[in-house]
Amino acid sequence: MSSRLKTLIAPALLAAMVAGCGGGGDGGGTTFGPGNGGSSTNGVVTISITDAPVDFASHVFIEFAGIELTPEIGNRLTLDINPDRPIDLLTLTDGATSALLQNQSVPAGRYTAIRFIINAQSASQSNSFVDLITGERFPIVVPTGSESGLTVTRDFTVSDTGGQLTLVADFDLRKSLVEPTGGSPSYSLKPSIRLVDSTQVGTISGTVGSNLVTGLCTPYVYVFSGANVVPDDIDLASDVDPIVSVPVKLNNSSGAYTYRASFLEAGNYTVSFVCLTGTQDDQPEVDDLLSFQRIQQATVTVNQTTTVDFTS
Amino acid sequence: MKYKVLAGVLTVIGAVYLAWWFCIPEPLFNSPYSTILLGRDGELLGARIAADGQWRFPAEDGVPKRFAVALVVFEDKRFYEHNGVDLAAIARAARSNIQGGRVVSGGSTLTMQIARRIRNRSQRSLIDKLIETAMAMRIEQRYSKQEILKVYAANAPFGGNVVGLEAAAWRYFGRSAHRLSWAETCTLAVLPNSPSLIHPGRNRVRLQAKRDRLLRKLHEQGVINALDLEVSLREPLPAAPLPLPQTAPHLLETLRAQTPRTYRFETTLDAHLQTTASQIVHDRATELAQQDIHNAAAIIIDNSTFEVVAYVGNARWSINNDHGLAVDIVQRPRSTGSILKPLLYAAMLESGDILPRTLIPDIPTQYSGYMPENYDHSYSGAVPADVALAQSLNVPAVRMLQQYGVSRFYDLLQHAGISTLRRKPDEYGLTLILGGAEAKLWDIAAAYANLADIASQLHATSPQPYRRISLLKTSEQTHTASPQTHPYRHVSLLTAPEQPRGTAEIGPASAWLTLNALLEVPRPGDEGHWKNFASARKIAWKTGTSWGLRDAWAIGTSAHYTVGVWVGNATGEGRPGLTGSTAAAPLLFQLFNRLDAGPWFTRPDRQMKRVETCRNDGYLANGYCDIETLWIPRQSHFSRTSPYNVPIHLDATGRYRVNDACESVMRMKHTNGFVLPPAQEFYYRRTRADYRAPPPWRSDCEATNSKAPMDFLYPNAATRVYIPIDLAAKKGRVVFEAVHRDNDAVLYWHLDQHYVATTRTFHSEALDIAPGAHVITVVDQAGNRMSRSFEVIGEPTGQSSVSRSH
Repeated sequence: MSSRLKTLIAPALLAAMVAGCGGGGDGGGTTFGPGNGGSSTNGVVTISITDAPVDFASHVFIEFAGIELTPEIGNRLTLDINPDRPIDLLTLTDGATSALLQNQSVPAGRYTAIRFIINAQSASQSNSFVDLITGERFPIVVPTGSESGLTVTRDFTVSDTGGQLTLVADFDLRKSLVEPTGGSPSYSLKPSIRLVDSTQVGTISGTVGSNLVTGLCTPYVYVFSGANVVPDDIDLASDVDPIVSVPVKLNNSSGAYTYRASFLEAGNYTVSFVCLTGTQDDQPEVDDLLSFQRIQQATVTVNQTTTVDFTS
Repeated sequence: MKYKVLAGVLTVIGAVYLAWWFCIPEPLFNSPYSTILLGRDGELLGARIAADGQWRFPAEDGVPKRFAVALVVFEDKRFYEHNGVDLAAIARAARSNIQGGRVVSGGSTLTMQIARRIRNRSQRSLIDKLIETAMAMRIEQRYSKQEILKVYAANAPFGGNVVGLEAAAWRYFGRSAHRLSWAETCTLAVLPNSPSLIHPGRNRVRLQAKRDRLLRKLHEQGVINALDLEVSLREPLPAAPLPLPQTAPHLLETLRAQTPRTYRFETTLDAHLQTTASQIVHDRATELAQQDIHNAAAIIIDNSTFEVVAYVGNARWSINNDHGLAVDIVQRPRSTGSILKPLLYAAMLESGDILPRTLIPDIPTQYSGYMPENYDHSYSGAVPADVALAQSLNVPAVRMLQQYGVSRFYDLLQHAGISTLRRKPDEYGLTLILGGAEAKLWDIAAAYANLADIASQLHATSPQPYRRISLLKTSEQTHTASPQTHPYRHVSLLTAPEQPRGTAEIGPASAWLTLNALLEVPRPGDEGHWKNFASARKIAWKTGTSWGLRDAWAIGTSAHYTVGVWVGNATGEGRPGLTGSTAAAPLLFQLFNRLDAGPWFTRPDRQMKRVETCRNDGYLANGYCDIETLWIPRQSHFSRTSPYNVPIHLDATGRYRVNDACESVMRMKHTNGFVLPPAQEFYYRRTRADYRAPPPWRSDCEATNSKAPMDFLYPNAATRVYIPIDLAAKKGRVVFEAVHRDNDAVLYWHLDQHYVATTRTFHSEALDIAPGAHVITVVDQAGNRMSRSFEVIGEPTGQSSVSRSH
């Protein structure tokens, strides 16, 4: 018997011998599965999504149909989401996530990309839509069509040594959701997704002094990767872009302005406060000139919350 | 010349002095002791006869005051004044011997009697007397009076094979020498001089006369008053020697085997509870013996002190080891069945992998050829994690372990004190949660006690290490051993083996939630109605049954005590009815009924936070479900909102489901729906009367539904299939399985584009497949199709790729 075969059979035999039983009159056993098959080199992955909110919509539904994983070697692996999963991304704020795949067994190894397959082919054929606070509804379309979906190119490794890989994809809607232009009947979804291992991230949160939130401006905190970055707006250009932008919210019970930026990988960040006035909505398509009113430095450590307060 | 003489004289003096100096052995007596087991208040729980066949108990720290007084009055009046030799007594003895013409008195001091016993010679010549005198003086020079009394008491003969005061007290009066009356003490004080008086017959009269004379002397000297004297004189002499107690025989054997040179084990056992627990286990085992189940063991731990207060190693004691009754099962590793599941639930709550009521899939599942099944071979589709724990469902447990990670759980078990994990984590694999590993009742009960302990840490600010239970009093609690007593050794195995142990993976909130989930485990028999009684005690408990019905476990904890029970056959034979709930659970509750109930654990509010969850799936609320507010661990990182409560696309009438292929999103309405994946829904809707399927598809949308209303149970996506070889060395078949949302569906199976089978109702098909890459496709009568790619591993056989089998 080859050693490889032995390593395959030994756990299976053990499994058969000790097949467990529950309590309460339990007397069951185990059987070999249909086909007595399986791969000895699978790992487990959970893929969730999260989002930073936008203030112009009440719902942003994206209907996910599947996920495709691109291994470094071999064929792409398509994992069905059945049934299709419509998710209101606006419910996924303050670090909430929604799992598209949970504890999915996949071949262990290195992967280079994830594609989110979304039911949003065209304005006339889309199960994804945005409900504006004005009451209007627009379909959402992934411009490149369902063939490509939304792809994130990022290396990650699924290990077969137990435990699972928990990936979180941050659909930063302020960056990725683009308003209809030129008479288009639909919003479009651009691939601006940040993929992190949720066991390797921390959070920045804090309060903003009420004197900084003046008039009718809309307060935001922009988080830039790296220390001492000169902040810039969201513009999809090759210059500096915030890794995360989160709204500052008024806590009605405490009267404090607070914010929370989650799923930040460990490292140094530049955290800046900005209050956008009526004309400044910092659309991704435009290079807006924003004045960042306060800038601070922060270090994020895994599983910890770093407090960065913006006071007067 | 003078110097030579002087040197010679000095040499002789020096030699004599040296000879005198070394004339006594060190220690004075080196006889083997009996091994004794004592309860926490010093009660004798058991003893084993010494190697030389004598009942010789290791000495206690002090000689009982009454005995010291009586002995000195009776044997050696000037004991505290002389230096080993009482010249006045010798003179008096010589006078009476001359007057009597025979030896009627030896004039020996207690110390000289010790010297005589050390020499152990029957001859009593003058030379002997001189040697004994020299030895006595040396003993007096070496030891204090108290030490000498102790040595005397420990080595004096008390008739038959009873040596030493302590053994005599237990043999004749059934009590420690410290708790004897004056009459009893005096009986023993007079015995060493003429031990044969204890034997029945005419001797008894002489014994009583001696005792009474001593009592009167004590009265004359003002030691006891008239009333005491009168009462004492009426006390009868002891009858035949009493059998020594045997309330923890298996424990005594275990301790003896671990530390053979320790003779005195001072334990934390509660003698009364130990006796009661032994009786209960014995009675229950007697009933079970009718089913050919012969062994049972139990342990009771005080949750506050972490001390073992009762330890029943087996159903009863059998010196011949009939049915393995001499085995101390508390210390034997046995298959754990489901008994470790609470630790996984607690750890996953703590790590934020689950919330207390998160739905866990309960569908046919297999990982690398391992296919766990629930005890009743059924599936519920999806089940809240706390219910899965209380009902001890195997499939959800395996899925949870797969999520948490075998290595991580293995580490937790080791930290929590499960000391018998001898293989590597991957050799156990997912079976670890279903009895793949063996563990000792001792270790598992300790792990449950840790759950109770952690749940009580209301103000803990950081994770604490797991605690170890103990059974032996620590050396600080035990008196210091003097040279004349037993060698005291730290008994490591039953106290605290200092293995590396991490801080607890489980915090107060997770432990508290777990214990509350375990309150819901259905209790056996009449206990099942416990919730109807205000006085009923809350007990968090769990059963376990190993494969082949070989081991039945029941372990539970109230706020005060943790009780662990194992029932089975020491030989490992399985028996029908040998399950945790039928064989072990009744015993567990019988034991709990003898213990204080105490209040239930206080909810550790400071360690918890409240979150809004969806009532029907236990995930965080997402705005599309009924909300239930739950307390969860404060530091939980669980962030997942409900995946099953979703908006459902309806047409303008709100009566039919639609999708983007048949209706514009601009005209869609939405309603909240609870939609499980097809495989989960297939089983869930059978067991849940409250399950409401989403509205039907509009006719023009059905065929365009982008997702098939069906799913594969096997193979999983991207599976590599190993063809089983059966016992006849013939290649087996691969069994494919699918489920459909519609019970009446007809499925058409295709392998690599070739039609191979049709299935109705039960969609399972065994196929003979050649190695290589394949695609299995299933189409229902509505035209929905689903495909799955897989690879068959094995040597190419050259035969055609498919042959249908029946």
